[in-house]
Amino acid sequence: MILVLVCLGLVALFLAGSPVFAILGAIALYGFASHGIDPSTVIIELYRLTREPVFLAIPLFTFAGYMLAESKAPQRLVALAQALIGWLPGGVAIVVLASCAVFTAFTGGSGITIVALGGLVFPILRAEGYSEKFSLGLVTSSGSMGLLFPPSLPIILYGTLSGTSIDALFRAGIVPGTLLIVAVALLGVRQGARMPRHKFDAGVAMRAIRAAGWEIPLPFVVIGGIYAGWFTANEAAAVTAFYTFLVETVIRREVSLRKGIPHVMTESMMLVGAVLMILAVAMGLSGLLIDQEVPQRLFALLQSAGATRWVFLIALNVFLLLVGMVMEIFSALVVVPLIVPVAKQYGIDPVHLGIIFLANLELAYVLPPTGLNVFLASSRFRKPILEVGRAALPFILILALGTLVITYVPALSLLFVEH
Amino acid sequence: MKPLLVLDHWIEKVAVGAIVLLLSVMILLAFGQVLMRNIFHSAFPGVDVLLRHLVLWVGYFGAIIATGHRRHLRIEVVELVLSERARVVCAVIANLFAAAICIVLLRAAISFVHLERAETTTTMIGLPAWVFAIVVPVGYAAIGFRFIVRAVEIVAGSPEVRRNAMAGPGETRVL
Repeated sequence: MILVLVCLGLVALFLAGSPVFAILGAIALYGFASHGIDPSTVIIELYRLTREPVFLAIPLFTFAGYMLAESKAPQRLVALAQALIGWLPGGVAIVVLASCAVFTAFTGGSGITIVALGGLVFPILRAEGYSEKFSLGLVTSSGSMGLLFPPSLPIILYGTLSGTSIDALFRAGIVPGTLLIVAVALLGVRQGARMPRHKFDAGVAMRAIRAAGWEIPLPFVVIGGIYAGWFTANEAAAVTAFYTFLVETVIRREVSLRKGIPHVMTESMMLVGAVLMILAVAMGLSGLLIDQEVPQRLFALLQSAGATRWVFLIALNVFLLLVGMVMEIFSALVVVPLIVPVAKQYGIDPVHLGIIFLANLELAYVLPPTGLNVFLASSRFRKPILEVGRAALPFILILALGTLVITYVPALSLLFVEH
Repeated sequence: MKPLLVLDHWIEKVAVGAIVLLLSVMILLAFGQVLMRNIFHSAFPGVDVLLRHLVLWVGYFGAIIATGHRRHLRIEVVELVLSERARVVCAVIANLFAAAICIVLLRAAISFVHLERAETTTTMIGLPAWVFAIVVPVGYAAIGFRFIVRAVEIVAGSPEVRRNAMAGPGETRVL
């Protein structure tokens, strides 16, 4: 009875707009108290984060991403993509997808892509002759593309919460991440086939390459370095943070040392802080869940209900889409410690599970009426939420198809992962 | 109300200063460590552990600032359908609830630091290791305080202050 009241109260507080960390913290504290465990255990669990090697990559990558967003790198990125792949049929749509994917990978899927790049690429699409509906749908769905590529912050958080190797997760994301982009790009090609094609201009391409010369090495260092095994995620983060700092302040002088740097540092650490607050209580909560053998009980319950592996995966898809729709990725990842042990019992590889998580959350971002991207696109382009949702529908369908394939064909994720 | 706001303001200033200082140190140290490891095949001893503790420091200072800018992650869908009055009530309750949880976490963090102090013997850059754990109670204290100040602003502030203290939809999630 008391438990029911507490649950109802927390739901009400959650809906009233209480921070996610306070709700989760209340659950963790209540759980510890009702089992007679000292509340300082919550802090002990959170302090374990200081023993996670990859913990350091979180602030460094976030800082680098905000640094790039603050400079003129987004403009250079779009210009470069346009010069290099704009001549393909549907080229401009592919340009939008590719630039958004790179940008989201570097800024961690907090919705910055739509805000920073949306206003830049939407007019380009319209000027090319793409319909307003198509352009709106494409920009809305592009905002979460790239979550599966390094140095995506949600992947790092999944790895931390599940105890899975980050490097393996990054390698696992290559094929599924590319699959989703290619699937959406096909929609663009179909639209673009009706439009006049651009010619490839070597002069323009050279100028764009030269203009973006300092940023071009970054994806290669990060993505290539991690895939090839030259760098750990941590080392890539250290190099990226130092390099972007040097390039955008000293070499390009687009971010000033006196004003720009404190601004970028505070903005990026606000996100890190907000995520850390959730991660901190999530560590305590996961310790409690494992201590009380909740995953085992959940597995037993599922088994007695006759749930096979396929039923479990379908339920997982639906569950993740719902969670991802009402919360953003960072809060949604809180369920990781609960799900990973259950999935293991069903014989699902934790690395594959990570990719399933991210793919579903990527899709959930685009789902109306409460997906984050729908929300942001609606306010950014001043369009009603339902109109954005309708525009995104073809993209949602194709992303859903891709997510199903990723979920039920583990080989796609495990192709480049050694065991 | 004035002294509360002044203190709130100073907390933010200190947090911003600390972030700029600590994050700069972290970027340099982390890069230096990569150079050491890949060129000289050695590493500064203890730096990796120090860096991971500093993540906690910049994280808590970031969270302190985030409290003043309504950047803590939460859902804001329900707000869209509420009347102005109901939104005010919800915002006050949400802020006070968050403050209450921070106070409980603060107590837990204080007893954690006491435990660490009794147990640890290791040192980092010449300081006993438990000193680095102090950011946890300090963080929860400052965050809890700032949530209370937000609630006070909503109840007693001018319309403009109140509007600032209440997050509009979408604002908390992005730059």
